[in-house]
Amino acid sequence: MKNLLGKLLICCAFVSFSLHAMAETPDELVRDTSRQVLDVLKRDNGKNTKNIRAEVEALVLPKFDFTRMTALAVGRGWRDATPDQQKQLTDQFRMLLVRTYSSTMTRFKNAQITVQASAPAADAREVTVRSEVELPANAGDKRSAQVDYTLIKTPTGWRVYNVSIEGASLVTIYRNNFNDILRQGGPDALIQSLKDKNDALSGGKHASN
Amino acid sequence: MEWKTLFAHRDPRRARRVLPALLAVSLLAGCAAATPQNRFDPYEAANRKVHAFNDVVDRAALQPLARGYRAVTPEPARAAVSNVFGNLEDVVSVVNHLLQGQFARASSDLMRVALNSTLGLGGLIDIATPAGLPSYKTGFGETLGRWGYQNSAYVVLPLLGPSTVRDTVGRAADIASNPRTYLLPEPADANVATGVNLLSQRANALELTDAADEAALDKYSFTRDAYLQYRRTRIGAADSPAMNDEPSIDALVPPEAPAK
Repeated sequence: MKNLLGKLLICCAFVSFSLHAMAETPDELVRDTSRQVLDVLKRDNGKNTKNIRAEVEALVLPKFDFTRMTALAVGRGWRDATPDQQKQLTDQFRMLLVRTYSSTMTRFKNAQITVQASAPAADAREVTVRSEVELPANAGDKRSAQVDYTLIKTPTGWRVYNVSIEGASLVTIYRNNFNDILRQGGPDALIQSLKDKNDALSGGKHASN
Repeated sequence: MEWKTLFAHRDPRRARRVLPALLAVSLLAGCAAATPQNRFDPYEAANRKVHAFNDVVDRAALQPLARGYRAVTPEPARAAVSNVFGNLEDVVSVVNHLLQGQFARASSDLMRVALNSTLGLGGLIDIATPAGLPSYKTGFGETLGRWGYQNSAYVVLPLLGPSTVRDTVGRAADIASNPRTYLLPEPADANVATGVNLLSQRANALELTDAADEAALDKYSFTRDAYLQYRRTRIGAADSPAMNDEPSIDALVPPEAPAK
């Protein structure tokens, strides 16, 4: 009898734990991920090693919806792209964002991140989570930057699809440029431009490392 | 160093006239060449030329100077330089917060100037921020925006970089109302101060511009759109309908089917 009760208790605890994980609110997701990333960045004396990059990517990438992010960056031209082109655009855009982020991320290892609580309505599909990032070592300019994340609810939890810093969206600042390229050469030209940029970045990295 | 020749006039008021004159020339050039694609950037052709010029000067002179300044000056010294200029800008912020009707911020900025100018040794140490008085810097460009002048054409200023017509007017007013103008009446001193401030700001922005170099396919439009979005947020016009002529994201990617 006692044994059965024990098993039941463990069972309940496990169920409520997984329910909690499922029901992680958007601000919890941003707060937890930021904290985990900062912990990883502080390791290895804050060096930007391959292992650190891989660990951060493993933490961060699953929390993003890159398809939606790319569609937002491309705008109305997204409709003209075939599913295959959309996938290539997403892959290349993700690579560009990841490269840019991972080459600068260790600068934020001493950042203080304050994520504001947000209470989205139970049926809300989208929510914006606000946070303040303060860099104590930033010479002179000690003003903090406001970083906002826009998330969408998916069957597997909340996913980020837009990030803006001080009101400038990291995603939509690409749109005018993307539209210019699309107007001149269509989706394939845009895929090629992104590829060229990514190739140039990885070439530069080999040269500098 | 081109900025020195730009500002090396005997009469500081004349020096300040050089920029608007240059600006007027670039605007005219833009009108002649234009097949404008972006309605917030009617002077794109001219802007791109100035951007290219700035980029050359930046790579050849400003960036190396800023990196050198970082290498030879300890962090506290650089912070002190930033703080002195920041303290003077807080005076401009007091006036503009008043003009914007933001009285709480105006009085908080006034307290900042009072604290930092006295106990903070003339602005060398920013003791107001840790004392719970955060800096809310603002200027006349934002005041004009708050008064309703929200959409303004993008302009790249020689050496100074991204701006708009509105923000250029604002910058001129900010320079005129900055105590520096009265504290340093000698043009030689004023030029040195302008140079040091430019260098200090460039050094503070190195991370930002390095990241932009990596992230951008086209640095010109990347910088422009980041600047315009940032300024729109600062004047409370982020969600202006003028910006949102794109289809909603839900029309592009149905949210029910989050693709992998």
